[in-house]
Amino acid sequence: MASHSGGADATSGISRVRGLLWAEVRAYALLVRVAFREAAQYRTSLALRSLTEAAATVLDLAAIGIIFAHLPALDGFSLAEVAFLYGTSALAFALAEAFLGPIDRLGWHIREGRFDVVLIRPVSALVQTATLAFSPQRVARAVQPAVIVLVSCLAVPVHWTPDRVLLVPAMVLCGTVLASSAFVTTAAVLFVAPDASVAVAASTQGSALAARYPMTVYGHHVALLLTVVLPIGFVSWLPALHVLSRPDPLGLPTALRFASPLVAAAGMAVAAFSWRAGVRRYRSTGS
Amino acid sequence: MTVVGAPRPPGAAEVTGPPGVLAELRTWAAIAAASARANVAYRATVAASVLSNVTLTVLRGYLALAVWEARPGLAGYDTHRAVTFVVLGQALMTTYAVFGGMIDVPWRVENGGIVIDVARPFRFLHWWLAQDLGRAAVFAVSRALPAGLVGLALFGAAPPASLAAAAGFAASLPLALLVSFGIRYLVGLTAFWITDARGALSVSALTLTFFSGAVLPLTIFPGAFGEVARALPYGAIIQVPMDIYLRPAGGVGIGEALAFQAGWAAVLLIASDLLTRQALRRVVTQGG
Repeated sequence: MASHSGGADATSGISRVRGLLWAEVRAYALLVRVAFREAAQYRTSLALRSLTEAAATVLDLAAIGIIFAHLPALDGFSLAEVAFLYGTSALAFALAEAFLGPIDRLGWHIREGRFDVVLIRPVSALVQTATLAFSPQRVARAVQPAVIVLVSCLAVPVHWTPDRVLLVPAMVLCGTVLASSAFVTTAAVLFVAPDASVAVAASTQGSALAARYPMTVYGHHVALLLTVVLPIGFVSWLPALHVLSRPDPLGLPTALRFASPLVAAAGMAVAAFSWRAGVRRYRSTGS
Repeated sequence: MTVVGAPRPPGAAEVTGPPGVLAELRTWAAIAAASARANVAYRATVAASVLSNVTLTVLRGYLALAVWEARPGLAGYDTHRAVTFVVLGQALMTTYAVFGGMIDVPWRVENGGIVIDVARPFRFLHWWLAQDLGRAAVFAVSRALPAGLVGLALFGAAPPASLAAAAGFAASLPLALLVSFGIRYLVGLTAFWITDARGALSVSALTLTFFSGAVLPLTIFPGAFGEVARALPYGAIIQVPMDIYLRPAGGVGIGEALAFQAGWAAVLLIASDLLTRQALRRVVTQGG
């Protein structure tokens, strides 16, 4: 009898959590829809900003193109291989930025006293922060990197076995989770220091720049720092070594090439912990 | 609405000597100092910016090393000069706010504070330039210097090519600030026409970064693309000062380089002045 009621409690507990999660997903979808309609009111600005998102990728690619105009290979990696590294990492970062919106604006919202309202609404603070200034044009940013991934996959001299084919979407997915976790973790710092918004932009820019070239470019020590300490290497570099069937110049275990899902899960746990700790430390500006 | 004169900075009223000039200078200094204090006040911003600058210096420094080790002599630089370009270039980038913005006009237009800026007993354009001078001073000391020291420790840096190069570099620094200010100010002014200026801001941030030489030296941009890139005003902010400092073989003379900067600074400031007149006519005060 007792065990039976305990089982029922557990089942209802799970369904309650599922219901809560579902409510958050629906709230997120609703708020994103609102953001799309809001953006449609400022058409010139929306057009210009969508253009910017496209320009960002064009200029990134131009930089890679300029380097390869002078070199046949960068640290032994061909243009197609660097394009694969750039495409997969840029796609992961673009998707993360699209889902989370300009989360660095959180500091500004806190300073302007807007976060109080966020906390009294019956929707999770993270969902609201992600949608507070959700930028529809950022979704467009993912298009070009996706094209680059496809084109570079056709251009690299790889024997496409099923594991390699599967690893490409898997690494983009894990990369997106890793990038999102990094953004949320840095954004959580803003609860303690609201004027450190630059830190979020810095972590975005820095890790996006680091992930697009072969890690060995940065020298042995920095490359190890960027894979073992900061998990940037798990976004594209380590799985890409398997896809491109290359030996690891850093001599790390082969198993690490498939460890991105585990690292992404750990990243999510760190992000969730930091975010909750941040919200708990939130103090209103009182203005 | 009633326009009330802003309080004069201390001392400005008592000046009797050559009227105007000294008082004007003191006002500039007061505005720059106030802007500098405001920029120092946000400690966490400073810390985060230093981290960002160090990261970019390290990553771009190693990238330059990898490229120049594979192609020594590219653009007339040896490896040592190539990393000097990155380390010093990053310092110039942060000092001159090459990442765009830092001129609050759009935000002031959006929240209505612009009415106060228009009513100040000081020219609108000069007010923002004086503010940017204060900001640049703080950015140079608080961000460029620490990141530069890290870069110096990691990669080392070449000294100026000659005494003339050092003097020319010093002369090019204020001109670079004027060009950077002119571009960012013009972009900020667009807020008078498009209330949501974020689009213009992000476009300008990208072009400023790429075409100033902050990402890669403009001298390695190939073909006609390179010709166009080097003719744009953006290069006057990082590429031209670095050309004067490093004096690579095949580069232009110091005088010519300074004239390029001065020409663009003049064009941009005249355009800023003309556009300011147009913009201020559009200010409509709602309520009272």
